[in-house]
Amino acid sequence: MTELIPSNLFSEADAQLLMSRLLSLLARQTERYTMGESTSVTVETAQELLASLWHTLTVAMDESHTPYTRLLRDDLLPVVKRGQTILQDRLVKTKRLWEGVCQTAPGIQNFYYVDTLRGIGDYFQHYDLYFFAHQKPPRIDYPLLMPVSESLQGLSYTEQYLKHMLAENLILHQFETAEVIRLLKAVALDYQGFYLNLCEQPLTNAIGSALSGEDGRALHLSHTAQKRIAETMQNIGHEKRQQLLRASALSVCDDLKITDNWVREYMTSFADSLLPRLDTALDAGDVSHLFIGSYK
Amino acid sequence: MDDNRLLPLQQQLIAAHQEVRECNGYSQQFGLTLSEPEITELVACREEALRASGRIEFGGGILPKLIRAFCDSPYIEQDNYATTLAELQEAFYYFKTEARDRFSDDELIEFMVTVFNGRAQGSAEYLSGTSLEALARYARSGFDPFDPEEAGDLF
Repeated sequence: MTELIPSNLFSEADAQLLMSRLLSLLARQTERYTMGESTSVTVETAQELLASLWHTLTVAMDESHTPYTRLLRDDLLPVVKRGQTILQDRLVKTKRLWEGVCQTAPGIQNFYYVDTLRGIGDYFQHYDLYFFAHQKPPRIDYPLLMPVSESLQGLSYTEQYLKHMLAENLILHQFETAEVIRLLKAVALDYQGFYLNLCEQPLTNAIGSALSGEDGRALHLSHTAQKRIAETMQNIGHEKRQQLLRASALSVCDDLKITDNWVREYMTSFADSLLPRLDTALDAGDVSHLFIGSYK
Repeated sequence: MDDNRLLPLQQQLIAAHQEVRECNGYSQQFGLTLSEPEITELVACREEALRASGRIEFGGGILPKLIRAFCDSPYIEQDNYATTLAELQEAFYYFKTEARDRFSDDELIEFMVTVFNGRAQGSAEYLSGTSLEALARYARSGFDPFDPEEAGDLF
Protein backbone atom coordinates (compact mmCIF):
# COMPACT_ATOMS: atom_id res chain seq x y z
CA MET A 1 0.00 0.00 0.00
CA THR A 2 2.91 2.38 0.60
CA GLU A 3 3.55 2.52 -3.16
CA LEU A 4 0.50 4.81 -3.40
CA ILE A 5 2.51 7.63 -1.88
CA PRO A 6 4.98 9.26 -4.32
CA SER A 7 8.43 8.61 -2.87
CA ASN A 8 9.86 11.81 -4.32
CA LEU A 9 7.46 13.97 -2.32
CA PHE A 10 7.89 12.60 1.17
CA SER A 11 10.70 11.44 3.38
CA GLU A 12 10.38 7.90 4.72
CA ALA A 13 9.23 9.19 8.09
CA ASP A 14 6.65 11.51 6.52
CA ALA A 15 5.44 8.74 4.24
CA GLN A 16 4.88 6.55 7.29
CA LEU A 17 3.03 9.34 9.06
CA LEU A 18 0.87 9.95 6.01
CA MET A 19 0.13 6.24 5.65
CA SER A 20 -0.88 6.14 9.31
CA ARG A 21 -3.31 9.02 8.69
CA LEU A 22 -4.63 7.34 5.56
CA LEU A 23 -5.19 4.07 7.39
CA SER A 24 -7.25 5.88 10.03
CA LEU A 25 -9.30 7.32 7.19
CA LEU A 26 -9.51 3.85 5.67
CA ALA A 27 -10.91 2.45 8.91
CA ARG A 28 -13.77 4.93 8.73
CA GLN A 29 -14.26 4.33 5.01
CA THR A 30 -14.35 0.56 5.47
CA GLU A 31 -17.06 0.87 8.07
CA ARG A 32 -19.09 3.01 5.69
CA TYR A 33 -18.49 0.58 2.85
CA THR A 34 -19.71 -2.40 4.87
CA MET A 35 -22.50 -0.28 6.40
CA GLY A 36 -21.29 -1.45 9.79
CA GLU A 37 -22.22 -5.05 8.90
CA SER A 38 -18.69 -6.34 8.80
CA THR A 39 -15.71 -5.70 11.05
CA SER A 40 -13.29 -6.93 8.37
CA VAL A 41 -12.79 -6.81 4.60
CA THR A 42 -10.45 -8.63 2.28
CA VAL A 43 -7.05 -7.10 1.74
CA GLU A 44 -7.94 -6.51 -1.93
CA THR A 45 -11.06 -4.56 -0.98
CA ALA A 46 -9.11 -2.50 1.53
CA GLN A 47 -6.47 -1.74 -1.11
CA GLU A 48 -9.15 -0.57 -3.55
CA LEU A 49 -10.82 1.59 -0.90
CA LEU A 50 -7.47 3.12 0.00
CA ALA A 51 -6.57 3.76 -3.65
CA SER A 52 -9.92 5.49 -4.05
CA LEU A 53 -9.32 7.66 -0.99
CA TRP A 54 -5.84 8.62 -2.18
CA HIS A 55 -7.13 9.46 -5.65
CA THR A 56 -9.91 11.61 -4.18
CA LEU A 57 -7.45 13.43 -1.93
CA THR A 58 -5.06 14.13 -4.81
CA VAL A 59 -7.92 15.37 -6.98
CA ALA A 60 -8.78 17.91 -4.28
CA MET A 61 -5.14 18.93 -3.75
CA ASP A 62 -4.44 19.27 -7.49
CA GLU A 63 -7.56 21.32 -8.13
CA SER A 64 -6.59 23.85 -5.46
CA HIS A 65 -2.86 23.65 -6.30
CA THR A 66 -2.14 22.70 -2.69
CA PRO A 67 1.09 20.81 -2.01
CA TYR A 68 0.57 17.20 -0.92
CA THR A 69 2.69 17.83 2.17
CA ARG A 70 -0.36 19.57 3.64
CA LEU A 71 -1.90 16.12 3.95
CA LEU A 72 0.50 15.54 6.85
CA ARG A 73 -1.28 18.05 9.02
CA ASP A 74 -4.65 19.08 7.53
CA ASP A 75 -7.83 17.33 8.60
CA LEU A 76 -8.31 14.79 5.81
CA LEU A 77 -12.08 14.37 5.92
CA PRO A 78 -12.89 17.83 4.51
CA VAL A 79 -10.30 17.24 1.77
CA VAL A 80 -12.03 13.97 0.85
CA LYS A 81 -15.39 15.73 0.71
CA ARG A 82 -13.93 18.46 -1.47
CA GLY A 83 -12.47 15.82 -3.77
CA GLN A 84 -15.83 14.07 -4.03
CA THR A 85 -17.55 17.32 -4.98
CA ILE A 86 -14.98 17.90 -7.71
CA LEU A 87 -15.46 14.34 -8.94
CA GLN A 88 -19.23 14.77 -9.07
CA ASP A 89 -18.78 17.79 -11.28
CA ARG A 90 -16.18 16.01 -13.39
CA LEU A 91 -18.50 13.04 -13.83
CA VAL A 92 -21.15 15.28 -15.39
CA LYS A 93 -18.60 16.90 -17.70
CA THR A 94 -17.05 13.59 -18.73
CA LYS A 95 -20.47 12.13 -19.51
CA ARG A 96 -21.15 15.15 -21.68
CA LEU A 97 -17.84 14.57 -23.44
CA TRP A 98 -18.82 10.93 -24.02
CA GLU A 99 -22.13 12.06 -25.53
CA GLY A 100 -20.15 14.35 -27.83
CA VAL A 101 -17.98 11.45 -28.94
CA CYS A 102 -21.06 9.29 -29.57
CA GLN A 103 -22.71 12.05 -31.58
CA THR A 104 -19.62 12.65 -33.72
CA ALA A 105 -18.70 8.99 -34.19
CA PRO A 106 -17.63 8.37 -37.80
CA GLY A 107 -20.01 6.35 -39.89
CA ILE A 108 -17.51 3.53 -40.04
CA GLN A 109 -18.25 0.28 -38.25
CA ASN A 110 -15.59 -1.22 -36.05
CA PHE A 111 -16.32 -3.65 -33.25
CA TYR A 112 -13.67 -2.30 -30.87
CA TYR A 113 -14.71 1.31 -31.40
CA VAL A 114 -18.39 0.61 -30.77
CA ASP A 115 -17.80 -1.76 -27.87
CA THR A 116 -15.44 0.64 -26.14
CA LEU A 117 -17.89 3.53 -26.42
CA ARG A 118 -20.66 1.34 -25.10
CA GLY A 119 -18.40 0.15 -22.29
CA ILE A 120 -17.62 3.71 -21.25
CA GLY A 121 -21.36 4.43 -21.18
CA ASP A 122 -21.84 1.45 -18.85
CA TYR A 123 -18.94 2.67 -16.73
CA PHE A 124 -20.79 5.91 -15.98
CA GLN A 125 -23.80 3.89 -14.78
CA HIS A 126 -21.68 2.07 -12.23
CA TYR A 127 -18.99 4.60 -11.39
CA ASP A 128 -18.71 4.90 -7.62
CA LEU A 129 -16.95 8.11 -6.68
CA TYR A 130 -17.32 7.40 -2.96
CA PHE A 131 -15.59 4.04 -2.73
CA PHE A 132 -13.91 3.33 -6.09
CA ALA A 133 -13.17 6.76 -7.51
CA HIS A 134 -9.86 5.65 -8.99
CA GLN A 135 -11.29 2.95 -11.22
CA LYS A 136 -11.14 3.28 -14.99
CA PRO A 137 -13.59 1.80 -17.49
CA PRO A 138 -12.88 -1.94 -17.58
CA ARG A 139 -13.72 -2.33 -21.27
CA ILE A 140 -11.41 0.09 -23.05
CA ASP A 141 -10.10 -1.95 -25.97
CA TYR A 142 -10.12 0.47 -28.88
CA PRO A 143 -6.54 1.55 -29.58
CA LEU A 144 -6.13 5.32 -29.80
CA LEU A 145 -3.84 7.10 -32.19
CA MET A 146 -1.94 8.36 -29.15
CA PRO A 147 -2.48 6.34 -25.97
CA VAL A 148 -3.47 7.95 -22.69
CA SER A 149 -0.99 7.74 -19.85
CA GLU A 150 -1.74 4.73 -17.63
CA SER A 151 -0.70 6.78 -14.62
CA LEU A 152 -3.99 8.65 -14.86
CA GLN A 153 -6.80 7.32 -12.74
CA GLY A 154 -10.58 7.19 -12.77
CA LEU A 155 -12.34 10.04 -14.52
CA SER A 156 -9.05 11.76 -15.38
CA TYR A 157 -8.11 8.80 -17.54
CA THR A 158 -11.62 8.50 -19.00
CA GLU A 159 -11.80 12.18 -19.82
CA GLN A 160 -8.44 12.15 -21.56
CA TYR A 161 -9.34 9.01 -23.50
CA LEU A 162 -12.56 10.62 -24.70
CA LYS A 163 -10.74 13.83 -25.67
CA HIS A 164 -8.47 11.75 -27.87
CA MET A 165 -11.48 9.95 -29.39
CA LEU A 166 -13.20 13.26 -30.06
CA ALA A 167 -10.11 14.63 -31.80
CA GLU A 168 -9.90 11.51 -33.96
CA ASN A 169 -13.58 11.77 -34.83
CA LEU A 170 -13.00 15.35 -35.93
CA ILE A 171 -10.04 14.31 -38.08
CA LEU A 172 -11.92 11.44 -39.68
CA HIS A 173 -14.88 13.65 -40.54
CA GLN A 174 -12.64 15.77 -42.75
CA PHE A 175 -12.13 12.87 -45.14
CA GLU A 176 -14.59 11.20 -47.50
CA THR A 177 -15.98 8.21 -45.61
CA ALA A 178 -15.90 6.01 -48.71
CA GLU A 179 -12.21 6.84 -49.23
CA VAL A 180 -11.43 6.04 -45.59
CA ILE A 181 -13.21 2.71 -45.86
CA ARG A 182 -11.37 1.86 -49.07
CA LEU A 183 -8.07 2.60 -47.34
CA LEU A 184 -9.03 0.61 -44.22
CA LYS A 185 -9.83 -2.38 -46.43
CA ALA A 186 -6.31 -2.16 -47.76
CA VAL A 187 -5.07 -2.45 -44.18
CA ALA A 188 -7.47 -5.25 -43.26
CA LEU A 189 -10.30 -6.50 -45.41
CA ASP A 190 -12.27 -7.24 -42.28
CA TYR A 191 -11.53 -3.81 -40.77
CA GLN A 192 -14.92 -3.92 -38.99
CA GLY A 193 -13.80 -6.74 -36.75
CA PHE A 194 -10.12 -5.90 -36.79
CA TYR A 195 -8.21 -4.45 -33.86
CA LEU A 196 -7.11 -1.15 -35.43
CA ASN A 197 -7.39 2.58 -35.04
CA LEU A 198 -9.73 4.01 -37.68
CA CYS A 199 -7.75 7.24 -37.94
CA GLU A 200 -4.23 5.89 -38.13
CA GLN A 201 -3.87 4.88 -41.76
CA PRO A 202 -5.91 7.78 -43.18
CA LEU A 203 -3.81 10.26 -41.23
CA THR A 204 -0.58 8.48 -42.13
CA ASN A 205 -1.48 8.62 -45.80
CA ALA A 206 -2.56 12.26 -45.51
CA ILE A 207 0.82 13.11 -43.98
CA GLY A 208 2.44 11.12 -46.77
CA SER A 209 0.48 13.12 -49.36
CA ALA A 210 1.67 16.36 -47.80
CA LEU A 211 5.24 15.03 -47.68
CA SER A 212 5.08 14.24 -51.39
CA GLY A 213 3.85 17.75 -52.13
CA GLU A 214 0.20 16.85 -52.66
CA ASP A 215 -2.99 17.94 -50.93
CA GLY A 216 -3.29 16.53 -47.41
CA ARG A 217 -6.91 15.59 -48.07
CA ALA A 218 -5.78 13.01 -50.58
CA LEU A 219 -5.70 9.55 -49.05
CA HIS A 220 -4.63 7.71 -52.16
CA LEU A 221 -0.87 7.62 -52.67
CA SER A 222 0.46 6.74 -56.07
CA HIS A 223 3.64 4.81 -56.59
CA THR A 224 5.23 8.04 -57.77
CA ALA A 225 4.23 9.80 -54.53
CA GLN A 226 5.70 6.96 -52.48
CA LYS A 227 8.96 7.25 -54.44
CA ARG A 228 9.02 10.98 -53.85
CA ILE A 229 8.60 10.45 -50.08
CA ALA A 230 11.45 7.97 -50.01
CA GLU A 231 13.70 10.27 -52.03
CA THR A 232 12.88 13.27 -49.82
CA MET A 233 13.48 11.43 -46.56
CA GLN A 234 16.25 9.02 -47.48
CA ASN A 235 19.40 11.07 -47.18
CA ILE A 236 18.51 13.46 -44.44
CA GLY A 237 19.16 13.20 -40.71
CA HIS A 238 16.78 12.03 -38.02
CA GLU A 239 16.02 15.56 -36.79
CA LYS A 240 15.28 16.85 -40.27
CA ARG A 241 12.95 13.91 -40.90
CA GLN A 242 11.06 14.76 -37.72
CA GLN A 243 10.78 18.40 -38.76
CA LEU A 244 9.40 17.44 -42.16
CA LEU A 245 6.91 15.00 -40.64
CA ARG A 246 5.68 17.67 -38.22
CA ALA A 247 5.47 20.28 -40.94
CA SER A 248 3.48 17.83 -43.08
CA ALA A 249 1.11 17.13 -40.19
CA LEU A 250 0.51 20.87 -39.79
CA SER A 251 0.02 21.20 -43.53
CA VAL A 252 -2.63 18.47 -43.31
CA CYS A 253 -4.29 20.42 -40.49
CA ASP A 254 -4.44 23.47 -42.75
CA ASP A 255 -5.79 21.47 -45.70
CA LEU A 256 -8.45 19.91 -43.44
CA LYS A 257 -9.16 23.34 -41.91
CA ILE A 258 -8.42 22.06 -38.41
CA THR A 259 -7.76 25.14 -36.30
CA ASP A 260 -8.14 23.72 -32.77
CA ASN A 261 -4.65 23.93 -31.22
CA TRP A 262 -5.15 20.82 -29.10
CA VAL A 263 -6.05 18.73 -32.18
CA ARG A 264 -3.15 20.22 -34.17
CA GLU A 265 -0.77 19.25 -31.37
CA TYR A 266 -2.35 15.77 -31.28
CA MET A 267 -1.67 15.35 -34.97
CA THR A 268 1.93 16.53 -34.71
CA SER A 269 2.47 14.12 -31.80
CA PHE A 270 1.18 11.37 -34.06
CA ALA A 271 3.58 12.52 -36.77
CA ASP A 272 6.43 12.16 -34.23
CA SER A 273 5.29 8.62 -33.49
CA LEU A 274 5.65 7.75 -37.21
CA LEU A 275 9.36 8.48 -37.17
CA PRO A 276 10.66 5.10 -35.95
CA ARG A 277 8.49 3.29 -38.49
CA LEU A 278 9.63 5.65 -41.22
CA ASP A 279 13.26 5.02 -40.27
CA THR A 280 12.70 1.27 -40.53
CA ALA A 281 10.88 1.60 -43.84
CA LEU A 282 13.65 3.75 -45.32
CA ASP A 283 16.30 1.29 -44.11
CA ALA A 284 14.39 -1.42 -45.96
CA GLY A 285 14.10 0.85 -49.00
CA ASP A 286 10.31 0.53 -49.07
CA VAL A 287 7.79 2.99 -47.63
CA SER A 288 4.74 1.36 -49.21
CA HIS A 289 3.82 -0.56 -46.06
CA LEU A 290 3.74 2.68 -44.09
CA PHE A 291 2.21 5.00 -46.71
CA ILE A 292 -0.19 2.54 -48.29
CA GLY A 293 -0.94 3.05 -51.92
CA SER A 294 -2.68 1.30 -54.79
CA TYR A 295 -5.82 0.42 -52.89
CA LYS A 296 -8.20 1.90 -55.47
CA MET B 1 -0.69 -6.59 3.84
CA ASP B 2 1.90 -5.48 6.33
CA ASP B 3 0.67 -1.94 6.80
CA ASN B 4 -1.19 -2.78 10.01
CA ARG B 5 2.07 -1.89 11.66
CA LEU B 6 1.50 1.67 10.63
CA LEU B 7 -1.68 2.01 12.64
CA PRO B 8 -1.11 2.88 16.29
CA LEU B 9 -0.62 -0.85 16.75
CA GLN B 10 -0.26 -0.75 20.46
CA GLN B 11 -3.53 1.18 20.73
CA GLN B 12 -5.26 -1.34 18.50
CA LEU B 13 -4.05 -4.28 20.56
CA ILE B 14 -4.97 -2.59 23.83
CA ALA B 15 -8.45 -1.85 22.45
CA ALA B 16 -8.84 -5.47 21.32
CA HIS B 17 -7.73 -6.75 24.74
CA GLN B 18 -10.11 -4.40 26.51
CA GLU B 19 -13.12 -5.32 24.37
CA VAL B 20 -12.56 -9.04 25.00
CA ARG B 21 -11.90 -8.45 28.70
CA GLU B 22 -15.22 -6.61 29.00
CA CYS B 23 -17.02 -9.67 27.62
CA ASN B 24 -16.15 -11.56 30.82
CA GLY B 25 -18.80 -9.41 32.52
CA TYR B 26 -21.40 -11.02 30.27
CA SER B 27 -20.03 -14.55 29.88
CA GLN B 28 -19.42 -15.20 33.56
CA GLN B 29 -23.16 -15.72 34.07
CA PHE B 30 -22.64 -18.88 32.01
CA GLY B 31 -19.62 -19.89 34.04
CA LEU B 32 -17.16 -18.78 31.40
CA THR B 33 -14.32 -16.30 31.72
CA LEU B 34 -11.07 -15.70 29.90
CA SER B 35 -7.83 -15.19 31.77
CA GLU B 36 -5.34 -12.52 30.71
CA PRO B 37 -2.99 -15.01 29.01
CA GLU B 38 -5.98 -16.50 27.18
CA ILE B 39 -7.06 -13.05 26.02
CA THR B 40 -3.53 -12.31 24.79
CA GLU B 41 -3.45 -15.64 22.97
CA LEU B 42 -6.85 -15.06 21.35
CA VAL B 43 -5.86 -11.58 20.16
CA ALA B 44 -2.65 -13.03 18.71
CA CYS B 45 -4.68 -15.79 17.02
CA ARG B 46 -6.89 -13.12 15.54
CA GLU B 47 -3.89 -11.50 13.80
CA GLU B 48 -2.82 -14.83 12.40
CA ALA B 49 -6.36 -15.76 11.31
CA LEU B 50 -6.76 -12.43 9.51
CA ARG B 51 -3.46 -12.88 7.72
CA ALA B 52 -4.26 -16.47 6.74
CA SER B 53 -7.67 -15.52 5.37
CA GLY B 54 -6.40 -12.46 3.48
CA ARG B 55 -8.42 -10.01 5.55
CA ILE B 56 -7.86 -6.79 7.39
CA GLU B 57 -9.80 -5.52 10.34
CA PHE B 58 -9.92 -2.19 12.10
CA GLY B 59 -11.00 -1.86 15.68
CA GLY B 60 -11.36 -4.62 18.23
CA GLY B 61 -12.43 -7.41 15.94
CA ILE B 62 -15.11 -10.06 15.83
CA LEU B 63 -14.27 -11.75 19.13
CA PRO B 64 -16.76 -9.84 21.30
CA LYS B 65 -19.59 -10.81 18.96
CA LEU B 66 -18.45 -14.42 18.86
CA ILE B 67 -18.24 -14.53 22.65
CA ARG B 68 -21.74 -13.12 23.10
CA ALA B 69 -23.15 -15.51 20.49
CA PHE B 70 -21.49 -18.71 21.77
CA CYS B 71 -21.03 -18.33 25.51
CA ASP B 72 -24.49 -19.77 26.23
CA SER B 73 -23.80 -22.86 24.11
CA PRO B 74 -24.42 -26.11 25.96
CA TYR B 75 -21.25 -27.47 24.35
CA ILE B 76 -18.85 -24.91 25.71
CA GLU B 77 -17.38 -25.25 29.17
CA GLN B 78 -14.65 -23.40 30.96
CA ASP B 79 -11.96 -25.92 30.05
CA ASN B 80 -12.62 -25.70 26.30
CA TYR B 81 -13.79 -22.07 26.15
CA ALA B 82 -10.59 -20.38 24.95
CA THR B 83 -9.62 -23.07 22.42
CA THR B 84 -13.16 -23.22 21.00
CA LEU B 85 -13.24 -19.45 20.61
CA ALA B 86 -9.90 -19.56 18.78
CA GLU B 87 -11.24 -22.21 16.40
CA LEU B 88 -14.48 -20.34 15.82
CA GLN B 89 -12.61 -17.10 15.19
CA GLU B 90 -10.35 -18.74 12.65
CA ALA B 91 -13.34 -20.39 10.94
CA PHE B 92 -15.24 -17.12 10.91
CA TYR B 93 -12.57 -15.16 9.03
CA TYR B 94 -11.78 -18.02 6.69
CA PHE B 95 -15.37 -18.56 5.63
CA LYS B 96 -16.13 -14.88 5.48
CA THR B 97 -13.62 -14.78 2.60
CA GLU B 98 -14.62 -18.14 1.14
CA ALA B 99 -18.24 -17.00 0.94
CA ARG B 100 -17.00 -13.84 -0.82
CA ASP B 101 -18.30 -11.55 1.92
CA ARG B 102 -21.84 -12.46 0.92
CA PHE B 103 -22.94 -12.59 4.52
CA SER B 104 -22.83 -9.91 7.15
CA ASP B 105 -20.98 -10.74 10.36
CA ASP B 106 -24.28 -11.30 12.17
CA GLU B 107 -25.63 -13.61 9.48
CA LEU B 108 -22.50 -15.75 9.46
CA ILE B 109 -22.40 -15.95 13.25
CA GLU B 110 -26.09 -16.86 13.34
CA PHE B 111 -25.42 -19.71 10.95
CA MET B 112 -22.40 -20.88 12.94
CA VAL B 113 -24.32 -20.85 16.22
CA THR B 114 -27.24 -22.76 14.72
CA VAL B 115 -25.04 -25.50 13.31
CA PHE B 116 -22.59 -25.62 16.26
CA ASN B 117 -25.41 -26.08 18.75
CA GLY B 118 -27.28 -28.33 16.33
CA ARG B 119 -25.94 -30.98 14.04
CA ALA B 120 -22.28 -30.22 14.86
CA GLN B 121 -22.97 -30.94 18.56
CA GLY B 122 -20.26 -28.57 19.69
CA SER B 123 -17.61 -29.66 17.19
CA ALA B 124 -15.88 -26.67 15.60
CA GLU B 125 -14.15 -29.14 13.30
CA TYR B 126 -17.47 -30.47 12.00
CA LEU B 127 -18.75 -26.92 11.65
CA SER B 128 -15.73 -25.89 9.53
CA GLY B 129 -15.26 -29.06 7.57
CA THR B 130 -18.86 -29.68 6.66
CA SER B 131 -21.49 -27.00 7.07
CA LEU B 132 -19.36 -23.90 6.56
CA GLU B 133 -17.75 -25.44 3.48
CA ALA B 134 -21.20 -26.13 2.08
CA LEU B 135 -22.34 -22.63 3.00
CA ALA B 136 -19.38 -21.07 1.20
CA ARG B 137 -20.02 -23.23 -1.84
CA TYR B 138 -23.63 -22.23 -1.94
CA ALA B 139 -22.75 -18.58 -1.40
CA ARG B 140 -20.44 -18.64 -4.41
CA SER B 141 -23.28 -20.00 -6.52
CA GLY B 142 -25.79 -17.41 -5.28
CA PHE B 143 -27.66 -19.58 -2.82
CA ASP B 144 -29.60 -18.09 0.10
CA PRO B 145 -29.16 -20.27 3.18
CA PHE B 146 -31.88 -18.39 5.00
CA ASP B 147 -34.45 -19.33 2.42
CA PRO B 148 -36.09 -22.47 3.85
CA GLU B 149 -36.58 -23.93 0.38
CA GLU B 150 -32.96 -23.48 -0.59
CA ALA B 151 -31.48 -24.33 2.80
CA GLY B 152 -32.01 -28.05 2.26
CA ASP B 153 -30.04 -30.02 4.81
CA LEU B 154 -27.52 -27.25 5.47
CA PHE B 155 -28.62 -26.98 9.05
